[in-house]
Amino acid sequence: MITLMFDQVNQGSGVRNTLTIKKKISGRESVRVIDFHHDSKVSEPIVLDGYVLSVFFDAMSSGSKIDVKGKLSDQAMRNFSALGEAWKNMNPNLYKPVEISADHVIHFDPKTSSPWEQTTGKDGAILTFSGGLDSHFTAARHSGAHHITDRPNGIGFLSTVQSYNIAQAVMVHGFDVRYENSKDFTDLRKNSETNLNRMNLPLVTVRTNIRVNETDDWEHSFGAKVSSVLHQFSNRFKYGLIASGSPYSRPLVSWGSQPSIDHLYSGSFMHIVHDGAGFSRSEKALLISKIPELLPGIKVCWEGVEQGKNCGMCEKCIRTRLNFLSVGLPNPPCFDSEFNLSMIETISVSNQTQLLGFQNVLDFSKKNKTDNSEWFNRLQERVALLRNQLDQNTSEHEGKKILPRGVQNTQHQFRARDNALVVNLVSEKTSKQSDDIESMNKRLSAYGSSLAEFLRTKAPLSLLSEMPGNIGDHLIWSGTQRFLEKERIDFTNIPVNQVLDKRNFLSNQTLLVPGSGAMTSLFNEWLPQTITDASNVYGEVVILPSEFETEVTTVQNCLLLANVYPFARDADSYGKIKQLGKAGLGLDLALWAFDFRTPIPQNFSDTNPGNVLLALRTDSASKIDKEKISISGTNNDISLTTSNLNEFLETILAADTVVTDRLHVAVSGVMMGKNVRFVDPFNHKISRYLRYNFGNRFTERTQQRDENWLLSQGYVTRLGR
Amino acid sequence: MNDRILGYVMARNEWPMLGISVTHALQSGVDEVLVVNHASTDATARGLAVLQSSFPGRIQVLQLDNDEYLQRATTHAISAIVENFTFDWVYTFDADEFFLFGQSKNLCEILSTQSPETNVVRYGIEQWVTPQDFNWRVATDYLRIIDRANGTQFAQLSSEILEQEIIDGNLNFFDVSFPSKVIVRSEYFSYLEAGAHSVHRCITANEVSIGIDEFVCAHLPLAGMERLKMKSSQGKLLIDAGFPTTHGWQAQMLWRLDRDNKLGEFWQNHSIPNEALDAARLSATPKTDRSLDLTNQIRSAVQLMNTIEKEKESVASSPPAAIVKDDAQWSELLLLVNRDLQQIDSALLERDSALLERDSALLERDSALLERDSALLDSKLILTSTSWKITAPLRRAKSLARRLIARLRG
Repeated sequence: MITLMFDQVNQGSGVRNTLTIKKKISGRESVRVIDFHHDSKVSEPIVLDGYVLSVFFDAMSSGSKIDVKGKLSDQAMRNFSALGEAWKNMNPNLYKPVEISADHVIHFDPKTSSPWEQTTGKDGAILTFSGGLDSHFTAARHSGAHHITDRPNGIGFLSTVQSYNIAQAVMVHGFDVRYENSKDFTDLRKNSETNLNRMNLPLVTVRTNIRVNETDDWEHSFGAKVSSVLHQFSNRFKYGLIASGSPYSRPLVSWGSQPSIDHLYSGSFMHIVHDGAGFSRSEKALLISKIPELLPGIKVCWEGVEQGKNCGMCEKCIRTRLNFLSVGLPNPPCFDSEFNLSMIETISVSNQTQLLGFQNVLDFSKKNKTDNSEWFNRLQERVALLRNQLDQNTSEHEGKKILPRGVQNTQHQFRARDNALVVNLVSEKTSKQSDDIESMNKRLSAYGSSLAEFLRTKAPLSLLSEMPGNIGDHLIWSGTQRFLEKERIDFTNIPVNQVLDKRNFLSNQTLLVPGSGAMTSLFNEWLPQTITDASNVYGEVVILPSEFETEVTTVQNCLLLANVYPFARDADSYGKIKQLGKAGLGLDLALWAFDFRTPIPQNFSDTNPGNVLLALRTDSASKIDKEKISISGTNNDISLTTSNLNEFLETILAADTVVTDRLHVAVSGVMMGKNVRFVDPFNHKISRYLRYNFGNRFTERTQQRDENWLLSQGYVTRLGR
Repeated sequence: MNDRILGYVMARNEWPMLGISVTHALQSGVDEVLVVNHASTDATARGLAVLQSSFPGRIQVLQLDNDEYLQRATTHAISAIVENFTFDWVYTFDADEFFLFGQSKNLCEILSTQSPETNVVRYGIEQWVTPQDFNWRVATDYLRIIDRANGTQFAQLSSEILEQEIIDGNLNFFDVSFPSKVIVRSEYFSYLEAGAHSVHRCITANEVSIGIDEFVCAHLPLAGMERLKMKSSQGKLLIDAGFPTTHGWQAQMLWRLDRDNKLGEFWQNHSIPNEALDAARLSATPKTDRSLDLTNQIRSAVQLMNTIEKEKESVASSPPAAIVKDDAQWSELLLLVNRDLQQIDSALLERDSALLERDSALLERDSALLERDSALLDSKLILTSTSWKITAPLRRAKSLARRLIARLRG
């Protein structure tokens, strides 16, 4: 929950608007204060619409509700809801829609609630001004550059009726120029003010610490933050203009300011307008070139050491030089040095967006027949080269990322049979989850992301399949498969009997070994040696979260190999493998096999256990001394007796209480919301697993018992009595 | 010509560790070191004064008395100094960091051989584990540090998971490799991110990485209970200031451990005991290798510090010197930076008092609302009470009687 409180205090000739943000997540509360120092008086806004935008991205990324101690407009409520949906749609992994509440929601009535009419009239507009080419273009085309006699048609100039009535420009100190950097901002302001005066536009400034210790992605959030400043003038102006950064024909997606979403930053009292997207940057340069007195004051660069000046050499400076070059102005006076062709060879780009900027210059020149020149040819060659480099980087990067859904490969053979119940369990998930389940899901999500990120760096992946194991192991395999699908990680199955067939593999592949207990003193017949052998065939081998006992020589030899990466599924195993040099810690992938279920609230206890599934081991790992103790005839060691995972899970599902010394029977029982009474087999296998994987969750219904308890409950009997 | 290197370190109550790291830097190719003494109340000021006489003109000290944690603001102010001098590179380090070289090179040699296009040099960090009875205030104790941690974790975990697993004893802090850091050309200094792990992503920089066999930095993140307590206090400051849990997560974790009285157990798990490690708690204890790399390379600095510590006692009674180099340009800039920081100080004060005022107004409003609500509740309680309901006919009769009397009189 994010709570917003607003306050305004007079400060000299201006005011300071203060936004106090109380954020409470998982019981932890933090307070942050954002200040907006206005150098002129602005009255307190009727609504706090703009301030919601100050924290909107924080709320979207943390999934927090916003509660406003004050008023919001009805239009803002509608728009911000759509805004959250838009950003979630563009970045589903980063953002969630935001729920917003306020003390009051004001229903806008144009007849009575138009504060602007008393100040700037019903059409007054304010422009956010950075000093760059885009904002100069917007200012010049709309505002009072009316003394410019030569206003050719078709290059963006607007007539009085077509234009917004911009009455003021606002510069923000703390966005592009850092909050602490007063010197450069003063220089920038001075240059900008000169130009704005030429356009009869008064300038005000707002200094804000909103970006100090910022955690939002600025490229996503800047439009919201610019709008949050514009909203602070909603008592005087109806429209707030944001100058477009890219044309409709080359839209930037997932960018803070876009024609398609900027209107969603509006509320009832401030309409945000995205202006100038009908023009490319070169076209904007063309308009500005018609007003030469503005040229010295244009500031486009944020990379130079002096933030008040254009460095002339960075990507944006060179792009702007080329924009002007393409309209016949090789050396605009906003750059200290002259343009030379070698600058083109220094252009480097890190993304398609930047590359598009240069492509736009070429497009414009072709269209306007200014392409018959040396600079054009050189730029064309450079763009082609950069495009190739970028494509190569992208394809390498994409190759290591996830493949689209649906491009899944052959699955484990057991899958067809196992899936029905697994899907059924998923669909039966109740909406009301207990705290334990909620916190367990968070744990799964955090660990899952970490493992997925690691696996993506190891692609292409081959998953070891059709290997020996009981039905309990099938739960791990099923969970592994569901995890990989959920994280959209591509893999191919490789049956264990083909794993050493060198003809089938490439050394750049990684072998994924599903988690198991087959690296222990009791079970180590085939897996350690198989992994050792596979390490000669595959580039790398990743052992998914498993149990380890490094006292076993074959296990130790296998883990000492440089290209084998083991993940432990409990703390003891982790402590052992880290002594061998490298170790990962991860949750058992069986926990992804199906969603955790909320238990049906019934008061089962040891004396009233309901329907009991007694599933004690009958193999060598059992700690029950068969010569002295006899297990009840009702015992069903389902890991051995069931023929598939469905049957295994259905049997557990039918019980109210599960009594077992089988690890994955206990785990399934916990996940299905059953009462579980477990007895540790060898080596505290279950208790150490539960301690790490579940922590202190589910402890009320998952309890450890011992042999005496089994005797007292009649689940086993002593022989010879 | 050799490149000129400025070392930059900000420290608070870290003497003599700070003295050793500054001395070691100056002995290993750094030309000058700028120390920001952040409101230290220990022997830092005096120690630095003595150290300055051992390295005449090579140590500049900026006294920062603001108690708040303002690393970014201060770094930005310092960038004004850096930009006005002719240093080629800036090496930003902490008091608990000491660089180690392979092949007998020093930092100047390494940086001077970089191509002119290179503007960011990345180097690795090794974590070193101190003995359980390590006394960080005794210079010679640093020659007992011979355990280098192996960062055994190969998959990155989020800070939230790390904290939980460390607290639960499933993982050791030293299992996780410390992120590498960068040395930058001076014009890139103002773009350094906090912690010097990278330059701001908006900056296009040509970066090269230096192999650990050539240059690496030894880091002593956990050096005794006293320092854990200090870090815990810093963690509390971060939490109180509303920083997210990821910002300085180690310090925040230490504060939570301290609050829950688990700091002692944490120290047991993160230091080298005299006896063998407990085999039953391998996950919670560090995996280390023995090495003399650190002691061999800092020996000379430790010896000098040992002498200085004795010398320092002799100036203990004299007030700390006005510590600025006798150089007009340096002095002027230090004064300017101090002035800027004071302005930040007073702005913060102003903000705090305004907030206080606002909070007390809100409190007043809330208590008025509470009063009103309780009055409303009282009236509601009376109206729904049994006695009120029982006496209703009486009140009706009384009202009827009043009206009748009024009518008769009228």
